[in-house]
Amino acid sequence: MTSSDARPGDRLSRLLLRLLAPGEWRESILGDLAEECERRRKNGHSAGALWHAAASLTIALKLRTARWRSLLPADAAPAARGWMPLAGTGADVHSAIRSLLAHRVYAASAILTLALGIGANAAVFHLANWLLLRNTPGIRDQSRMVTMLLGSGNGVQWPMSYLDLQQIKAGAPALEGLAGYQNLAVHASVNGGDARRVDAQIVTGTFFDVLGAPLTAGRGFSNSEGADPNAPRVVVISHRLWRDMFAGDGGALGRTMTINGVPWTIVGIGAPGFNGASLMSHADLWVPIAQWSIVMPSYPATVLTSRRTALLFGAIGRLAPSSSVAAAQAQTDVVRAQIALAHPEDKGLAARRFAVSAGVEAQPWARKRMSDAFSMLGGIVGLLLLLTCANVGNLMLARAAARRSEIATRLALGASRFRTIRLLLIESALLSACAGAAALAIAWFTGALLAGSVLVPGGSPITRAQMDWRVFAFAFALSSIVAMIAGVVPAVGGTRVDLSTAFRDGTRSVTGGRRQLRRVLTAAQVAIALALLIGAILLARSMAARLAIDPGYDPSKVLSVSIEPGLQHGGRPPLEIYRDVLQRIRDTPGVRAAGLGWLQPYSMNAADTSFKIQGAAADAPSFEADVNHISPGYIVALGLRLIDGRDFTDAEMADRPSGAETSAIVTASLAKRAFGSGSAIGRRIVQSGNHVDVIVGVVGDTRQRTLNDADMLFEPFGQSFVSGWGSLEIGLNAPEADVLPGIRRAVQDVDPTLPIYNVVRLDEASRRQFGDDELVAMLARIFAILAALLAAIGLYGVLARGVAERRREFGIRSALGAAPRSIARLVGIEAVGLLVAGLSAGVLLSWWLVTLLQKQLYGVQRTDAASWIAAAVLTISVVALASWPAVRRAVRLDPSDVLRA
Amino acid sequence: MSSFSEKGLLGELEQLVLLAVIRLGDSAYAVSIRDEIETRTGVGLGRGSVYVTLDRLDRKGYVQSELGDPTPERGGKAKRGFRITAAGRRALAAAELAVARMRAPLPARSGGMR
Repeated sequence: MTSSDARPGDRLSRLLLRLLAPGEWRESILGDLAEECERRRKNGHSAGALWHAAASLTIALKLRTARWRSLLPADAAPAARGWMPLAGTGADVHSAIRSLLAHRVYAASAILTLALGIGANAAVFHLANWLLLRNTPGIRDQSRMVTMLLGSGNGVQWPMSYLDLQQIKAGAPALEGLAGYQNLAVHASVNGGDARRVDAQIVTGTFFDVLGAPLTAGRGFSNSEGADPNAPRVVVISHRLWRDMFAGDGGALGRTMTINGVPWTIVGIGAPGFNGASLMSHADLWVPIAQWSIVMPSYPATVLTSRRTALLFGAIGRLAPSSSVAAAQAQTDVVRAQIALAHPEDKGLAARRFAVSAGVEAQPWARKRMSDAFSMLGGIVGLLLLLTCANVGNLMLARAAARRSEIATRLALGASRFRTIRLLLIESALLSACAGAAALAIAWFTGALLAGSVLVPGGSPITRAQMDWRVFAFAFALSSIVAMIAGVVPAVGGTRVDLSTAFRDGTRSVTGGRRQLRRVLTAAQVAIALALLIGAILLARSMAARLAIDPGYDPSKVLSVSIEPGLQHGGRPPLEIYRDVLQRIRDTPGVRAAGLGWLQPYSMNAADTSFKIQGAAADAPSFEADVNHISPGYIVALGLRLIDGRDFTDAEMADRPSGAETSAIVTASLAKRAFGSGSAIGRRIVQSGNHVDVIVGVVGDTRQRTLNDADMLFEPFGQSFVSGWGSLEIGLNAPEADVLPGIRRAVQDVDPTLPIYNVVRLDEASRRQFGDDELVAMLARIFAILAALLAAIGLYGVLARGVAERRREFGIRSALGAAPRSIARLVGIEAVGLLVAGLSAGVLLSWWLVTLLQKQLYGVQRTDAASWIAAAVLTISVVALASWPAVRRAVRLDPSDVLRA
Repeated sequence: MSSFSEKGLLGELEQLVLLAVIRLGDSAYAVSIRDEIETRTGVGLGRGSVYVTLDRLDRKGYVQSELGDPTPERGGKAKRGFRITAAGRRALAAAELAVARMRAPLPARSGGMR
């Protein structure tokens, strides 16, 4: 019947039977099924392809399992006969503990190695969890929170106006609540005590309601407090500030504190750990938006009444029940279109969008930068973990080899292979459980160690990381995986014991397969070590390249101190305060010179401009430069070289009549670029808005912003506008610690309620810019050294064991007259083989790693030959060093000792 | 007897299949064996069980198998025919004997057990 041959069911069945059924059965089963098919069809039953395949699958499976079962020893423990994987576990755990206690050195080194691998990963996860993943403390039902940012798609964020947010809230029912906020700083004091600068947020009245009242005590803001500038001034303080300024006094609620020189009533205390909606926030104080005139005095009186006065950089919303981010976005888009239609004069709005996203996220760029750093670290510690697995796998293989007799005895006494493998797995699980516990300790310690360091440029120091269930779950999951990886291979390989040979010469011979496995694991360690070394070298070189950039002065001799007289409500005009403070600081002992700048070097604040040379053709090129506004004396205080012309004068540090020319000082490279080789002094440039500068001075190049760009344009402080804040740059000729009290006093003499902040030496400030890079580079270095050490130990172990196993062979060879050199060569060949295999695999691995690092590298290519060669040479030296003892031992074997043994 | 203590007494299924093999003579193969048991006892065996039992009997050496000629109604596939071996006959006899011995002094089923 040829028809049955062509049926697809037949073909599927044939495949199933070929895969599963014992060979002698295959054909006859197919024939039987063909017969039965025919019969069923005659009887009117269905006998399609499905029936055919199902029948063959059943038969094949049944035959297979029956045969497997019959392989189990008939008199083995019931656990092995009936498939009961857990029976007898207690006894096995007991015996595993006993056996590990009996081999403490082995157990300790395995635990230590695994703890390093798991610990490094747990530490990185711990930090990532603390900084990026965990929920913000205090927020109710965080899964329904959304963030709204006004962006233009190219990563630029724009402030939102109070009125726009009101309109969106009204037009987007998918949002149960919507609140806006802006970060700022205030000067706060209690009972006439010292004023301190406190990070704060100005928020819409709905802020605490939307978050679900993250408060320890008191309340959030009422509607009128949020919208009426004449309502009583109220403030909510953070739990941290409450402890710091009020020593956790329960009576703080209802008390008065002075903010920017004006009394406010404390109505609420935040939940512990709550410092703003996002994990990245670090606010300690919240004031309602209606009081902007006190905390943001530079804003016009139209904050609540005009949509052109936009000061809210971020907004958070809460989704209504059963609505989605997409619905909120769609409704918001409709409102945006309505606003754009009603305000055709706002041309920018067309290109911007109120982007709604899930979760609370204030600074996408900071988060991005941090998660980049963490993914890099993750790659590095992942490699380290692989290496420790290989290392411990090797240890376990060695132990399995040493236990061949024990395992053979177990098998001979009727223990099933499954039961034996399980015993070995329980051992490795115990080891990794201990290692997991140690890893948690390492993670905790890392968190404590890094508390206070700045991981995001311009960000605040991180608080001490707290462990939560996620870290425990992570460590547990990792330990379990490691137990499997490090345990299964040796367990499966180690129990494949040929009883007869195992008993005959148990400790002498090692099967080729297992030795091969050990070699592969060792080569893998060499490969990983190479990759980590390359990564560490590249990161170190990149860091060095950054720090080696010449800023044009000696930043270690300059102390920077910021003040913000603009916040002193009802105080003297800022420009007067700056002048007085500068004068007093210059008289302070230990101060060489002092000047005032608008922007602190290396702070994340920056301004740039583009200008044309006056009188140039309309199509002449324009020039780009970073801008700073500086007082006379700034150039001397920093220690910049005045190449041509003069410094600004005291008279220039004042408001100029509108339309008048401004003086300007440029850096040498900018002068050369704009004016060629001729003198720049007296030349005029035109910035946007027909603002004309006349060049009065040229200074040596200085890099102050990204350390990349040497083109800077300085204008006199106070001539274009008077900044509410300023950065005092103070040239020191005494240690910073000796001078700082005098500086503090000098400021207080001028205004006792004016706090100083951002106190930092400029070399430190420039390094802080790369805080996260430096951390990553440092960790990479530590991990690479660890990796090289572990790989060396692993290699040493394998070679030494190889020599021990081949003692007899080497002994016979030298007895027969082999020269020591030829024996050394035998060991050397093995080492070289491992090295070559490790290096070739390592190159591939390294390529993957450096691709991951690429974004972080500065001034060095990922293909940098010197780094690669250095890493290779290091690896080769480590391998050579690790091989040396084994070679020496092989050469020094005394044939008579060996042969007698 | 020694052979039985090593391999154990035949199970019920094994007995049924062996008896069917004897009964069917030259035409004993998986399909006919299953049919035979069903028609005689009314017990419909699972298809897989028949194969598993035959496989086990084969590996214990109680049956012998050989592949017959491919026939068209079997889609050109050979038939695996089975014959009982001497050892198979002994095992069957031993199993029946054991059951008979156990049954001999058995009290009546009903009554007496109040």
